[in-house]
Amino acid sequence: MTGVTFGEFTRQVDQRLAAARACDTGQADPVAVARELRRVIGRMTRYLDDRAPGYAIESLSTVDMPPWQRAVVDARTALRWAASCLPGGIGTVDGPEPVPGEVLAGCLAKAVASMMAGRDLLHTHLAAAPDGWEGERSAWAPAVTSPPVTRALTSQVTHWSGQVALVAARQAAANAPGPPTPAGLADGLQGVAQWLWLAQAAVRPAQAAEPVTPGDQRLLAAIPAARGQRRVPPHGEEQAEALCAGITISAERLRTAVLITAQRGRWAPVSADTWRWSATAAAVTGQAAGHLLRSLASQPDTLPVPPAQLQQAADALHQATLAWRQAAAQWAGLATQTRGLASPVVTEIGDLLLRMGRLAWQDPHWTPAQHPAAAMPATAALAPGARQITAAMHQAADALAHLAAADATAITATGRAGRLYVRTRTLPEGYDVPRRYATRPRPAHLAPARLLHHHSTRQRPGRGQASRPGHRGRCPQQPPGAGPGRQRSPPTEPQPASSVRVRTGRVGSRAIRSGSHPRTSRTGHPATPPR
Amino acid sequence: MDTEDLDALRARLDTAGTVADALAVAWDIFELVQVVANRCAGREPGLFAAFLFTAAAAAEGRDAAGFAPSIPDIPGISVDQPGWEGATTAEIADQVAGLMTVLGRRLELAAGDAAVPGDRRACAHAARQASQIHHLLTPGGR
Repeated sequence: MTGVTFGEFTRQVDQRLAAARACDTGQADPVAVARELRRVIGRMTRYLDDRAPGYAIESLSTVDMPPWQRAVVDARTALRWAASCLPGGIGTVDGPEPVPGEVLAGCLAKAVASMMAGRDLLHTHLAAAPDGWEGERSAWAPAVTSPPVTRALTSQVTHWSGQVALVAARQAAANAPGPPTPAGLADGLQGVAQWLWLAQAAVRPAQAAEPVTPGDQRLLAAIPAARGQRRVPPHGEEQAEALCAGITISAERLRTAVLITAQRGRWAPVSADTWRWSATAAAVTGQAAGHLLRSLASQPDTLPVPPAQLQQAADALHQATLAWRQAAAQWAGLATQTRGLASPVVTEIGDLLLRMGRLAWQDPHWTPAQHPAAAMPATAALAPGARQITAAMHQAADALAHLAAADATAITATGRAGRLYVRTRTLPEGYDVPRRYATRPRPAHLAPARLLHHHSTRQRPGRGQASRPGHRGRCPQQPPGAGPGRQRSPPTEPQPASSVRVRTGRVGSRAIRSGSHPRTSRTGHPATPPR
Repeated sequence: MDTEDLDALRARLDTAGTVADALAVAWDIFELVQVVANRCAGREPGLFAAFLFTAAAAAEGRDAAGFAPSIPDIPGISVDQPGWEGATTAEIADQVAGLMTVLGRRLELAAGDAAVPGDRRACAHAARQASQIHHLLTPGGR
């Protein structure tokens, strides 16, 4: 992600509106000011358009809406009325820019530019999905559309509304009637000020019911622009610092690749080969990361977090490695008609794997084909970079958790669509399929999906599975059976080693995070590095 | 690894005269290697990555052969209890790497002989996986 954040644009708007308030309204061209006011109001309205509910009749009654949703609708309505107060003779929002010398109008124009840039920054995380609905383009997308950001953004926009109201009121008081001032401009500006103050007041009930917290404001300010990180292929000269930076880039690119693959929908041509390879790579990455964390935990004097926290993260990564390995083993028995490793995920997780292995085994040329004869190397040399390493592990664990969640969903959809195959020799005796592969019976196909789901989220009560018709080919006509135990036992599924909830990637990342913004599934706030 | 398993498979590979025969024995070899590699992955931490990726490549090679148009319609080898407990992981790695060399060459020949485009692609894909496994299990990746 780049260094530009939404907070920089809000600071720019605040500064430019403050400069506008300090201008001498007696020297200003009222028509130019009014035109810029219309543009400012238009930009603020668009922010609220993004947050408003999608149904057209919301203005009929907001009584039953949640507080902040009502605040958005009421504030937007007030802004629209404010815009309508300005007479038509001042020109459109696409009119000419203020001329040099028009200080007040110029300040407002700059505020408009910063508002536009800020909104564009938020929209870099969102995209139109193939089905026409808003889709996610980055790991920040859930945060951008989250309730905390909605609260903070609505509060910010209505705060600006109050600042602009002061400008409009001062300009209205300073206006001298007569040519070339359009008729009704002074009254219009006064009306603008009144409606803008009403827009500012629209959030007070919501503030009382669900106050905007400093955390909400920090989250809004921290939203960066979504600009795809350029791939930096691993090379043999990278030392620890470069490896950590590369892991962070690969983790970000992997999250994006997972999003892109998921947005292709359930008919995406992802193959069993890709899923199998990804699970294998994730298992090896987890093994290396766990080794690193255990090694760091044994050197408490240099750590940015308590050793017990790192040990907990290492244990969680060990659970993750087991789960990924078992998922890969499950994939050994499944196949898809689509074959090969044609997925952007493969490249990114491959880079992640190489760098993690080189960092863990302190071998700049390490590959999975290396066979270290000696015992695992000590990592005393890594102690000076412990903070960077824990940050990199945090990013990697989070990216793998994303991968697990997305793969679980995709595998389940693929299985239900009948696009998974098993070797016929693994079917019960009664199945007479004269091929090496047959459509898999349920719930065998769900085994890897369940493993990944178990790995990426907390365990939830299982749901019953509907029975399905039998297989293609010469098979018994009766359904294979609805539940476990009524057909050939699926490959052994892992049992949790303990009662520890295996939200492995997120448990691991949370355990090693120090001081960063909390990542929770409710807010969808993506992982941030420790401060 | 049980040498009888390997000897029998090598013999079949040597006598596989047609593309169909080559695909069938390749399927069986990959299936055996996949099972063995999975079981060996946990025996030595240093070879964890190599054996795990070997298992993945073997499954990919097996499926490449398995979906070839000319592969015979028979279920294929059943690998429940390969007799390999007595061998060390290094010995197993050496034997599998050696077998992959032979298998890769045979599949490349079959790719050249195949008249059906699907068979050519399948043999080439499977040959690449055999080469990949050889690379993974050869010390130093040589």
